[in-house]
Amino acid sequence: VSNDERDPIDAVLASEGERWRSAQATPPDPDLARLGAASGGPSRWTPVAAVAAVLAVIAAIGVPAALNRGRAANPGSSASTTPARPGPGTPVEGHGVLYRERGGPIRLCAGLVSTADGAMSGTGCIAPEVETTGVDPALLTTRAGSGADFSASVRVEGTHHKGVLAVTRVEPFQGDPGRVNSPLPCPAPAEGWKPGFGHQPLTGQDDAITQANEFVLANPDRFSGLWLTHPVIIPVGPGEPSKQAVVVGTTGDVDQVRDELLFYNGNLCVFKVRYSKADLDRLADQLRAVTEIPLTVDVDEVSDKVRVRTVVLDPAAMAVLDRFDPGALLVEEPLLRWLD
Amino acid sequence: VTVTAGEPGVASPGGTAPDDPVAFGDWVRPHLRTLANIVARLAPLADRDDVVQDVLARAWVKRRLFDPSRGTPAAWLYAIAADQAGKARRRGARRGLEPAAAAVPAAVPVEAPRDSRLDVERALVRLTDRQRLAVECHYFVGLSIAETAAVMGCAEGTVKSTLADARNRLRPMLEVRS
Repeated sequence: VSNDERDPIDAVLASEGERWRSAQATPPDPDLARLGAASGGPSRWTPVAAVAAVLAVIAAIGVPAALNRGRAANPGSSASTTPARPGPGTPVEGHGVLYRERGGPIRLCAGLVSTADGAMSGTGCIAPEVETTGVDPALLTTRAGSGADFSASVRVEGTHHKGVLAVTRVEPFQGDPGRVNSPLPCPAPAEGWKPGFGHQPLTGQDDAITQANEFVLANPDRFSGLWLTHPVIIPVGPGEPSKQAVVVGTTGDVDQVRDELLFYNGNLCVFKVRYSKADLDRLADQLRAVTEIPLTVDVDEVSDKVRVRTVVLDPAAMAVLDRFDPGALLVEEPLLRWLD
Repeated sequence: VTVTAGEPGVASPGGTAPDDPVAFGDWVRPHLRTLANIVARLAPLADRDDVVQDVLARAWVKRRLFDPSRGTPAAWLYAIAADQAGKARRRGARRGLEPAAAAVPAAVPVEAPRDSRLDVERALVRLTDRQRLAVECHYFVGLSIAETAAVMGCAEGTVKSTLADARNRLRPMLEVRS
């Protein structure tokens, strides 16, 4: 692939690249109907931006809100206070989505990437998951583009032993869809939040947000991150009134950052955070190096912490998590919780 | 020859992008696999096939901006794919996901055999964004230096030097000695 044949790194990369390409599935044919739908050109921007905004908010706020509800029901959810009662026969419960990839076992996943209309993206489980037994395959009613089958959100009960959940009960999970007021870390401006996805006119705002995001990403030692939120209510469609805000966390001077982001003239919230993205990335890397227990680790810029999830919070998991700075950890509800 | 937008079966004159959806589909079909690979590498957590269709829709909307005197259809489509993949990745970043790191298993069992694929994937996370883009396009997607330059919006010489820098940065992480 490269002109520099003498470099062994060149050979390694070329070999890995060739191996990777040969493992890729054939993409589907062009969707001519979608081309037709895109003929209007810029008019398609609005719903795309709206869906993207909804996705961002549901993921950034709706999911943590749901998890916070779980904490309210079971306040001892931090690593240092959760009463661990592990045992092969101890009943457990869990919330999530049941899914099965081609030929594989049915698994319970705590979080799947889904679009605003509930369709699965086909990228698989991005959160703790556990293999199950005893689940009726008829519950997997949705077929994703990847060929995997999914259920709706469910609550399950069963027993967890040696990494397998023996399911004894499955019921629909009636969760709050996440249409909640967002925890915007800034007071409303005196004139109130501006209406619209960012600010009218819409044209150009997506580029300004992208530019702001790239600026933040380029300075990980100064910022925790940038995200979109809605201070009033999360819209479910482009036609629903909304007031979107761009939120930026910084370890530096708030006023200086506001000046640096003046090119974005929509709702802007800049606030002080304790940890920068670089700080959180370092901690996340240390957590990803853990091999004793299964962990899902990602940097959560909204809470300015590293989000950690595992299958069960047993003594082994708690011992591992106690090694890290508790102030920078967001230990979420595990996939499985002990039933009283 | 008079070309009417949307007229079925009309060939594109002078190498411009066809105005008919069916002909446009035929025009992009030879590049589909590479477009999919670009998306898969640059937005690993996104739905590859969905983003590819976004790329095609974007290219369709912008088809009259394609100028064959400035580059090949492939290079034009690859640049659009890289742009759309970047947007998909940033949408993931806004949701708090870590595309590069999340694409790699969070923890590898102690007894697991050493996997060179994981070594390379983990090492790529340590590159700068530009270095990684160059490596992804050239080595993994399989683009030529010229095509990589089109995607990156820079000169071929810049791509070569960026790749050289990337290889030097990867060398200690991949434990390969010159």
